[in-house]
Amino acid sequence: MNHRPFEDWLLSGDPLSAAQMHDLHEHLNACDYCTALGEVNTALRASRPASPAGGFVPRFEARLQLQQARQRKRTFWGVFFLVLASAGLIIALALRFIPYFRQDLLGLVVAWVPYLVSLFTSADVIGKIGAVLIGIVAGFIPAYAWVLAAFLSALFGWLWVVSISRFAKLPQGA
Amino acid sequence: MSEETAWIIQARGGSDEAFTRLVEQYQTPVYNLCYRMLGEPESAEDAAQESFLRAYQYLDRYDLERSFVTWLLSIAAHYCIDRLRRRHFISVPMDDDEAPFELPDLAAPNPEAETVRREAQERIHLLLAGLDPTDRAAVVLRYWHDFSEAEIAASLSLTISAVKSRLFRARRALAGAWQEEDASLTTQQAQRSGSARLERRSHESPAF
Repeated sequence: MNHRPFEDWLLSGDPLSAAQMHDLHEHLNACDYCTALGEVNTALRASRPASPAGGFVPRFEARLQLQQARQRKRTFWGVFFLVLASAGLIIALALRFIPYFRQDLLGLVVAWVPYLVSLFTSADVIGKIGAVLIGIVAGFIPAYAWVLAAFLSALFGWLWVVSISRFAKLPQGA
Repeated sequence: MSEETAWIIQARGGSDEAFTRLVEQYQTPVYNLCYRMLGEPESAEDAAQESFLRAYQYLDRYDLERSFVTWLLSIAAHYCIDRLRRRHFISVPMDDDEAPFELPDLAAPNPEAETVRREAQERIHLLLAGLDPTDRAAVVLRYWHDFSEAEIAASLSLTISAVKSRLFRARRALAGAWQEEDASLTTQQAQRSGSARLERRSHESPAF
C-alpha cells in the first residue's frame, strides 16, 4: 500500500484542507500502519519532560567539588614526580661530570678532545654510509614506486590529521 | 547581555556559583534527554551530572554566539550515545517504582484521558529503547526539546539530510513496533476471552 502523502500529512502537523482530511480518514480506516504512525506521533507530541529527583543541584555541587579535589591531587602528584625525576636526572648527570671538574683546564681539554674527535668521525662515517646506501637503493627502485610511496605517505598523513581533528572536536550547537 | 551569558562569563572566570545557576536552569532538559536516551533514572542522573561536569570542563570552548542549551544538550546526547554504544544493549525498567518523579497533572480535565496519555507515554518510552542511539537522540531532541532539523544536525554532528532520513526511519520503526504491539494485545485479548468461554463451558454440567 502506498502511504504517501498520508505519512507526510500525519507527521508535518500542518493544517489540512477538508478534501485532504477526508482522504486521510479514508486511508486510516484501511491502513493499520498509518494509524499506528498517527498514534505514535500524537503520543510523542504529548510527551512531557521527565524531571530529576529533588536535590540534583546539591548533588552536582558535591560531585564538582570531588572532581576538583581529585584534579588538584592529580596535578600535585604529577608536578611532584616531574620535579623528582628532573632532580634525579640532573643529579645523575652531575655525578658523572664531577671528576672532570676536579681537573685543571688543560687536563679537561686533553680528556675531552679524543672523545669529541671520535664523535665527529663516527658521525661523518655514518653520513657517508647512508649516502652510499641511498644511492644504491635509489638505483633499483623505480620512479613510480617513489611516487606511490609519497602518495601513500600523504594519504596516511591526511587520514591522521582528519581523525585527530574529528576526535578532538567538541560539538557546538547551532 | 542576557543573564545567562553573564553566568557563563562568570563561570569561565572560575565562579562555581554562576555555573550552579546554569545547572539549576537546565537540569530538567539535560536530565530528560539522558532519561529518554538511557531509559533508567539512575543512569540518567549519572549521565546528566557527567554532562554538566563536561560542560564545566570545556566551557572555554563554548561559542557565546550560539545557543547554550543546544551546546549543553549536544554534550549530553554525545555522552549518552557513547554510553549506549559501550553498553551494546539497553535494559529498560518495567517497574513503575523506578520511573522518574512526575507531578500529576491537576489541571487535566479528564482523568481517563490522562491515564491513556500516561500509558501511551510508557509505551513510547519502551519503544524508544529499540531504536539506534543516534536515531533515538534525534527523536528526543525533535519531540521533547522542539529542536529544528538544523539544530539536531548541529547537535549530533550530522547533515540535515541525514537527520531527516534518521527521523523518518525512526518514526517508521516506532510505528511498526506500535502496530505489532497492538496486534499482539488484540491476540492476547482474544485468547483470554476464548479461554474464559471454554472455562465457563467446562464448569457447566450437562445435567443442568
